[in-house]
Amino acid sequence: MDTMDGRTRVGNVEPRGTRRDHQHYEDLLGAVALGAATPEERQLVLAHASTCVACQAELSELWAVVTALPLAVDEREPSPILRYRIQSALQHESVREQTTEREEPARPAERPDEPPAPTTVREMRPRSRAVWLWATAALVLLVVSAGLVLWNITLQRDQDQERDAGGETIAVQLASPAPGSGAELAYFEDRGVFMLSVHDLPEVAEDEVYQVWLIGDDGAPPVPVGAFGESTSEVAVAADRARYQTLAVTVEPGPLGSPGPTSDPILVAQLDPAAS
Amino acid sequence: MVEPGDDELIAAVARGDPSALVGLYDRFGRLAFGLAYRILEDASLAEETVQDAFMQVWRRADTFDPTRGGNVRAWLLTVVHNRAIDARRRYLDRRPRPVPLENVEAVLSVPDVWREVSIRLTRDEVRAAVDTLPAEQKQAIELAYFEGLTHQEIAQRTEVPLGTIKGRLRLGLKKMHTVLSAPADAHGHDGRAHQGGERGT
Ligand SMILES: [Zn+2]
Repeated sequence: MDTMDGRTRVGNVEPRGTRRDHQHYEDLLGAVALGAATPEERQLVLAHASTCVACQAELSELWAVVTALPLAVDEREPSPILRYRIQSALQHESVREQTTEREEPARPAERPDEPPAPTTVREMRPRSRAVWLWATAALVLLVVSAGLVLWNITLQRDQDQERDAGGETIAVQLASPAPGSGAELAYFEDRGVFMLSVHDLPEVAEDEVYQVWLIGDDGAPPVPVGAFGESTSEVAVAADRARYQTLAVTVEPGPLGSPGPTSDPILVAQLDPAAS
Repeated sequence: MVEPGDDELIAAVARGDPSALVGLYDRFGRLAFGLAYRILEDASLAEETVQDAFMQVWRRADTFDPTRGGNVRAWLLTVVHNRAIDARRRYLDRRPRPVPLENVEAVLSVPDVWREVSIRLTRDEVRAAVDTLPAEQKQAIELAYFEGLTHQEIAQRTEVPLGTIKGRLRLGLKKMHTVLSAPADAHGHDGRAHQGGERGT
């Protein structure tokens, strides 16, 4: 395998424990620490290091340096969609795992600024908690979907005025902008309402809807807050901006959408005022 | 309000608390993405890799053992690095990686004295240490670490004998170890790191 240099031939090893042995393996320590040696070499070096104090110590040191190398890299801001995708992957795993778990009555996540609620259930099982939230989310979906219709009607006539009245505009990202598509999001603090206005989104199938989600910063699953069927729509979402970090839209099975997102978002907005 | 420490967060992740993983993401996501992007030079591939890595952390957090001298940041970035190199070799170089790195990681523990050092290391310190290396050592280490090349591939790429490349990798890392382990005078500490209690909050 390693034909460029006879010294590293695996089949050609000296009797164990010789000085030349040590020297040979020592040469390879850097490559092994960096994962740049062949599998055979690595195996031999590790075996040698398990009996050679000097090599073991050096290998540990070099390995430690390797673990520090990534710090030399420039930090880089990923798209906000990534955070969302991790949250939703977590939710899926949690839901999948719950089938094996006996549920106990769980309670919502403690907010860091509140003292922990008195409880006798000292050890909270977070995966059960996720399930609990998941179920709650489904309930919220029903309530909010019904409520949304009303919101749509009552807000319809105020919309133009509201826009003039100056809601705060929030930057929106479309995942893969179709030609001509666009979206705007504004928050009206005095009413605690988001207005999301989209036009010419990529069309969905007849049995699909666009579903709107709010995601908090506490790791809880995304909360479904409404669904709409037209690629050009205007929807209002009543919610306290401070409690959520991200608003997203995914395409889900209609007519009500899903309890948890099942696809990547087509639209994302960071709600944190500091982020925009 | 005290922010939870990295060790507390990873312990919470190990107990299955999703918010703790998001907490780790908020803390290290930019660094993780920076690393993956540096290796992959492609934003969407890098994001996929970071997501993969965090999900692996989620599933394997219970194997993280701080008493073995590891620190959370280094462990997490090692996972990101492994995933990114795998992706680079698979999708960009079309040459699957010959060695998964995890085995080395599992066999080795980081020396105790290093734990303190590695937790406080900053980008500038690591960069300064890299910059003390002769150009050819620096290049060899970068080709191995950021491009995932084996020593043989580095030798081919640089047209330098294999034995020389092995030497460069080893000597470069040794030199960096010496530089990074030196007392942190530059920070105005008095250098006596073993007085105890200075890490309390
Ligand atoms: Zn030895």
